[in-house]
Amino acid sequence: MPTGSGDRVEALTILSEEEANTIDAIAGRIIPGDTADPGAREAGATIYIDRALGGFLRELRPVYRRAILGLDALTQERHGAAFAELEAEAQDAVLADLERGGQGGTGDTEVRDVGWDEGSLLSTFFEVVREHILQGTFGDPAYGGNRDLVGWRLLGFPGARWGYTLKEMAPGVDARSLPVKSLADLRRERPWDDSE
Amino acid sequence: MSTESVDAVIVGLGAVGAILAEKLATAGLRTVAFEKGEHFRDPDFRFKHDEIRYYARGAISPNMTRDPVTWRATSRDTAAVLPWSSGPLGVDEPLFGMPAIGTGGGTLHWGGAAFRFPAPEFRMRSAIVERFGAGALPTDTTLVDWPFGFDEIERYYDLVEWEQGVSGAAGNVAGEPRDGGNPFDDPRTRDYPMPPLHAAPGDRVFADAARRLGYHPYPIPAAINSVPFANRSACTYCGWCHGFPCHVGAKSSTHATSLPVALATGNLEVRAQSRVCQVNRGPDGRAGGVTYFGPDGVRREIEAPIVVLAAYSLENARLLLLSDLNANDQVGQHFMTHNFGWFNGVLPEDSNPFVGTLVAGSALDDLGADRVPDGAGVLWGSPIVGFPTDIQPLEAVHSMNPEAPRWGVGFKEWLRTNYRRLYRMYSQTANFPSARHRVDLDPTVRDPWGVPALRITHDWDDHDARSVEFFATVKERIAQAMGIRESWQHASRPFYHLSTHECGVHRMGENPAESVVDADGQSHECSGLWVLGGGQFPSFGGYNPTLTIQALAYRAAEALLEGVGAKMEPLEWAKGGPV
Repeated sequence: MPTGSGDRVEALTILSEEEANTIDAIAGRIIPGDTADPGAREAGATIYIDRALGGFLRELRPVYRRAILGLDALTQERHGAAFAELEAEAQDAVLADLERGGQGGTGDTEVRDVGWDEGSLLSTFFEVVREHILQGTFGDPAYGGNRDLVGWRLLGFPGARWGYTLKEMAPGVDARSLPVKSLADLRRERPWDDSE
Repeated sequence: MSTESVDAVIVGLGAVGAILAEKLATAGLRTVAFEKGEHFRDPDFRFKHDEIRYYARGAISPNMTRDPVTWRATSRDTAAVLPWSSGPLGVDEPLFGMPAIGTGGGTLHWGGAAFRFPAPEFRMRSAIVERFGAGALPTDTTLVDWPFGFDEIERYYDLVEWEQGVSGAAGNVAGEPRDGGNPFDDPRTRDYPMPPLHAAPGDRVFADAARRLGYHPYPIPAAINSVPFANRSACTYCGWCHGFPCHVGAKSSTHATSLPVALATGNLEVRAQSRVCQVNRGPDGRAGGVTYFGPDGVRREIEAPIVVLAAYSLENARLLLLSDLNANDQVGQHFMTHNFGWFNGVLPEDSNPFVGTLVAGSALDDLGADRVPDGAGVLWGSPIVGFPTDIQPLEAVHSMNPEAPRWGVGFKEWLRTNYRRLYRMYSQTANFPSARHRVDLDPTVRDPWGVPALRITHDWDDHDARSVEFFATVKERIAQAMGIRESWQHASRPFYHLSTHECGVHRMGENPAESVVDADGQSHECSGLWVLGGGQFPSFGGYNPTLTIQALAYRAAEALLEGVGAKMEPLEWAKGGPV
């Protein structure tokens, strides 16, 4: 089933169907979820990546292509199927292998020193695709991910808020009860002072 | 074709340059100011609530492709473009790179921590020698006292607080202690122009715990309007502050404070997307103007008898070196930067660390400067600063507990449970200046304009690590009193060597053989050339540098104008009493 939940199918602008399926599958393991408790896949992280690879991250487009081919070749060899076709447990085992092969593993601030040499391509790809999946889950929906603000609702983060009232700022407030806003909401509601 | 000529040229319109632009233009000097970034107006930032744009993609951060900086640990190593700020993972934390570019500069991205340096900071060397003996200092340190003391800079601090706008609670006005402020405050001429910001929800837990331990927490002085002031609005507590520009003009960013005043005089022309690459000298050896690349990439010259470099400490040093203005080899020496000693923890209850601004918290000075206790094993103190909020989701994910799962169900549950309970603290300890730490021109790396990049040679020393370790124990004690059970801290020798707080590389001093600029910021080697910023600092302690950098800017503006027979005029809104 294509990215997202229910009938929400969006066009791809640069990824192939197969590539999108692979990224969907990875997203489903980075932040697992389902319709009731959405994760990165339901947030549309793959659509975020599709839009980014055609724009800001266009230099990484060839790397995504090479890495996804490499990942599928690896799982074909080990399990006789493409990554997206594997059971969740097998997918996790493959991803854990890639993570261990990387130069990092102790939080992003410690793994800056990653490169694209072929020997570590898949491990670097793991760090990069993980980062982009997180961006596609916790960034503003304007970029194609965080659909229905599910990433922010998971955290209880009220999003692109123009501000908070003193009452909302008081200790003890359950932030999950506050309205969650996106940049589109701000633009629609025009909370700024037009006289300025 | 004759070369264009004006009264003054300013390079960089950030924390310092915009102040100089305002004072010079107001005094009637025809001034051209160059800014390599954009000329921003407030409506540009209406939709700044965006971590992808500003945090992940660094919309206002210098990009290592266009503005490369290289680093190596020692002079035996080959430098590489900042490894923690480049590569496939993209732009790193704005904290560990160069300050923002565009009009406003570092005051676009800053959190607005507006600490004054306590009096002992101006005589760090003497204070350490008196207490511990000269033998206690690292043998290779080039540490010196400032050419003036707190009493001489106080009235410039007052100007910054009133002209740029700082909210806070005074601890001591004209010798009279005040409740609610920092009891260790040195006397100030008058109160802050605005009361403190409303505290973020997590601050009370920190302040209460600190008090129980006998410390004296006080509201962090904030360069953010707590009430409408200086034709700018009050803070809305949106929680998107540090690393983001302000959407309502409440944060004191010079594009919103000084620059509009400067432009209203009609004497200032801003040339954005324009990069100065060299300071030129006249036949008499005095400052004669600059060479720059305009937005079209064409190299041009402009003449001016006054040239102000205000492009950040490191860029200032780079420009001096590119201009061959380094006869005494002092340019680029005495590099100092901050080690933040980041502490992260999970509070027992929700504190909503996204509501309000990060400086809407408390700090304590009990262990600051010369109050570092005997037996700590370190020579200089630091405040402990609470960081209760302004932690957006991606930033939070990037600073997660390294013991927590990085993906999968465990990762999801960790975030779901803990994100709303995150709390941070930091100390700030700087390395002592040393012959081993310096900046110069990289022999191979150039920017796209063909200009050599700046190279940093710096590594954390034993004293740096011991300082972080000592203050880590203090943070742990406070955390325990706050009920924090899960916590993690940065390594004492962290991976970064830039903190947006780089200082010392064009040191000021009275002796022209041992410094780059005089006590007012004018070049010893080339009169008419003013080199301003944290690069002037002879020493660097535990406090955020910007308020002091701006105080030095006002001092320089006053001296510069006096030299041309003009007078520095205070702004109208800076004349009154507290609002």
